[in-house]
Amino acid sequence: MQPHSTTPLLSLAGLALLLALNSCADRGKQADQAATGASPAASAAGAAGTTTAAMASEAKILVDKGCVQCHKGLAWGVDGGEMGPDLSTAVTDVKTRFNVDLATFMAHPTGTMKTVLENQIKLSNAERDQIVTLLSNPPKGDAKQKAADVPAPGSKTEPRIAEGAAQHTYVAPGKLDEFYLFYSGGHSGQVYVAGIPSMRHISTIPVFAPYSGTGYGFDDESKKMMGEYTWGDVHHPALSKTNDDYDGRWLFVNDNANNRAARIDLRDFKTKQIFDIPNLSGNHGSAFTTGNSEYILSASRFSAPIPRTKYAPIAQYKTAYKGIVSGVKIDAKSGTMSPGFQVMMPPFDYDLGSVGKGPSRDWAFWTCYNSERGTGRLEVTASQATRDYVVACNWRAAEQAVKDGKATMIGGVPVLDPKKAPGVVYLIPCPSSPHGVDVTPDGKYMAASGKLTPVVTVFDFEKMQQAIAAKNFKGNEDGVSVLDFDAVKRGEVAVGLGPLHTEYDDKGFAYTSLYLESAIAKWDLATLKVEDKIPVAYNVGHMVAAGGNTAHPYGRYLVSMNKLSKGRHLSTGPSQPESSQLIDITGNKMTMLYEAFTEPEPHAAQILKADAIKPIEVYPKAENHHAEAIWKAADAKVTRNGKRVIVKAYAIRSYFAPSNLDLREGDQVTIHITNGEQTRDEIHGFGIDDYNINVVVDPGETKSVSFTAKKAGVFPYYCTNFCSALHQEMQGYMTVKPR
Amino acid sequence: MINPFAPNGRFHGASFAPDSLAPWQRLAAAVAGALIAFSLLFPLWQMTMVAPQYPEGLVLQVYANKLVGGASEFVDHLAEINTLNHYIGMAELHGESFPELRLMPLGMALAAVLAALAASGHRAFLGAGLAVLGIVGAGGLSTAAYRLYQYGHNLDPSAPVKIAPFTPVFLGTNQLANFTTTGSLGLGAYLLLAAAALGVVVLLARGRSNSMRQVANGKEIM
Repeated sequence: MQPHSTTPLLSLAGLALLLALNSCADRGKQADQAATGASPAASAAGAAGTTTAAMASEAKILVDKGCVQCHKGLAWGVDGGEMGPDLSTAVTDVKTRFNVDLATFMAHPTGTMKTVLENQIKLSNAERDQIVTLLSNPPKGDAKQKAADVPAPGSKTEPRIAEGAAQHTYVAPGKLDEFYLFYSGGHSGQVYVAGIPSMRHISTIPVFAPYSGTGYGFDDESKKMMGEYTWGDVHHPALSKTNDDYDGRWLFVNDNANNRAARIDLRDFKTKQIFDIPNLSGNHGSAFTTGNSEYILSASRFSAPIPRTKYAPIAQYKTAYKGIVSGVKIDAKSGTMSPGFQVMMPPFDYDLGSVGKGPSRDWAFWTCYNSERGTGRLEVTASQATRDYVVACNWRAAEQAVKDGKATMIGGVPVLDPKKAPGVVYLIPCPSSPHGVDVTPDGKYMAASGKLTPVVTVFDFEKMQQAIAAKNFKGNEDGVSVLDFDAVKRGEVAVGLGPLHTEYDDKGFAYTSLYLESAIAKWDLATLKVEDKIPVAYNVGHMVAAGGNTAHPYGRYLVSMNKLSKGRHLSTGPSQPESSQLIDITGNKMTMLYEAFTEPEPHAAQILKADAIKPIEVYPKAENHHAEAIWKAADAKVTRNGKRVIVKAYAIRSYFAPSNLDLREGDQVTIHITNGEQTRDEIHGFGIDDYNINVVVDPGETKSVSFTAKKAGVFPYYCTNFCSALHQEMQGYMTVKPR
Repeated sequence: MINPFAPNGRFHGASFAPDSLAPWQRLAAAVAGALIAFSLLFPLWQMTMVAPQYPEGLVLQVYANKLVGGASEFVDHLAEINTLNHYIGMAELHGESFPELRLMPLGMALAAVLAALAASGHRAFLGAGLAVLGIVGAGGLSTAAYRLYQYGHNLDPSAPVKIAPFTPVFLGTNQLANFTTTGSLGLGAYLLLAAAALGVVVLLARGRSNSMRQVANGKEIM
């Protein structure tokens, strides 16, 4: 963090102001006034502060000097941005926060205000005195404006709670939720499953990190699948699709950290495959399933020399480092992932993507930042250009180019060079450092969120096709043609500060998360006009509208995944949970229903109708193809061959067979343990004291665990997953005789 | 009427007279045979055990030829009942260990065939069928009573949970620990009862051939 930053709130306030100013400059150059129906100035004002008829005239300076970009001054009837505190109480605020009086602070500001007053808002002495006088003498009582439905930061009143919210979200004991919510678990490496509308956490699906709760990462198979890693960074879960809609077969997730993707089978909610994506560094722009789950698409957040083991000094970043956009092939029947294609891209940072639908089904889109090809402190070096890009990739064409032999094998996967495979990728200019690019349900438009620009730019797929056909290019980057921005753009939506992601409902509305403004903006896909905004707490990243990235969104609910919860929960100390807010999107105005907290850190989610899947809850015996499975205690067996010991073990209420296991120090042991139960929820765990082993077997399942009996002594083993009235008695001894 | 047995006269005795049953009786005998055959497809008896953690109940069904657990998603009822029973030291229930389940279908098949043969008009086939059915029924009931007693009384004394020996309920409901157990007849048993009732009615009713013979003998009709 910035060393001189005083509070996160103020530092965000400073950022918001900078962004607003940047956006004015940017929009001056490129605003599409016809499409938005508003002048750039008006849009910027709409996004970050307006005056009202009731404004006291002496407070005009707050508007003139741009203070309202971040601050309200409700005492004078001045509306303004949400990022900084209401200036009505500046005298006491400054005293509390900085321990100096207002005049001193304005003359010698610290923290974010230092940056702002030195670089962005330069006040003459007279102006400064005027502001100090103004802020020191707020009018009492009358002039106070009602703060629409947005509370001032720190306000105790909650905005926009739906009438009957409690009833709406109450799922009575014994009743089921209507939707699954699959959250990514971020750097926990896992996936969380919750229900909507209750928002109850139901289950955790371990993917990239060991999870002793289900014994994941302890048995041979899951250990092998996880490889050398014990964590991952799950950002974007993607349900498999058929005809652009969820088919409920698999859930794919990315690993931003170790360049992998994983497949969870929704038949049993288990991770079935972890696939290492060659060449690509920082698999952030993933996983997105194509319309019929032909591929999951992924992109490199970090450009790096390829293949991944290749070295090149940072000084050669601009030429030797490569970005990658990639398709991982999905087997239509088994869901098995295998290398598909990759496209070598300029060394930008590829961010987030989505896939086309309907007419655009063969295309995939990613945003990127750092088209500056900057290195070092990227927050600066990657924030210089007024425009970055949206990548448009025709994955069908890529597939064909690979078939046509235009690719080079690198790292075990065919890699296409855009120079040698024209027609595969294009770049569309997009206002500074865009984050999400989200294709509309009809597949006709792509909404790219500005992040550092308070607009969503809506691109027209048909216009893009025309521009490509007409070769309406404005330059190229490493052989990738850059399309003419104005030829591809449909319009811009002045959504507000820090737009990140857009999702869709069933009624033709789009919802864009506003990180800086801590709000969700609802806008009309037909008119590109903002219809409503609802504040969220705080700093929303992704949000997910039910079915919001399919051709047929369900509508009804939206979950805002907020990056900061900042004490909106019973205190749990400095490690803070994340907040997720459930929002009703059925009416004209969005209303708040519920707030839940999760472990770190959901980035994105998918919402699936509960009746779209029918998971099994017991593994049928007939499906157990483990070679060492046994189905009665009498078949339990210990086979020794020198130091090699193989145990066929059996677990059933309320005992293990064998009940004791005699080993010798140094034995290499494999225990194949079968849970003989054929009843749901009779899960047995096999934990061995002091050996760091806990294998949890579901009914009808067989798992194997291999270890070396390194320690001599007597080590009890016991059932770790409560199973029965005599669960406590479900135990035995592993004796290890010294050699 | 074609009578396959008439040509060689083998069954031409008084009780095996080919035309001792009226048409409705022949039809009824055929139906009785069919009911007996049909009953092989359905459970004769079932036991349902309900407990808080088994809200849908665990069901054990006895067919003429097999012992099966009830069908529900994610629970193998028979395996579950055996797993639970081991806590009180009850021996595992397996259809293979009951020889009566091999005999009973044979007896019932025989009864069904005999009843069906009675459709040819021979009253005695029906009588024989009913007799076989009666033996099967009595045998089935008595072995069932024996098994229930055996299983409930031969409890492993070293079992984790000690309970007083008991006889699981055959018809009706009782409570054992957290389980409410209900024993009841299955559809198969009702089919057999219906077949037996039909058979008895047919047997007791006056046949066609008697009156025909009376006519033939010049006696007054009826």
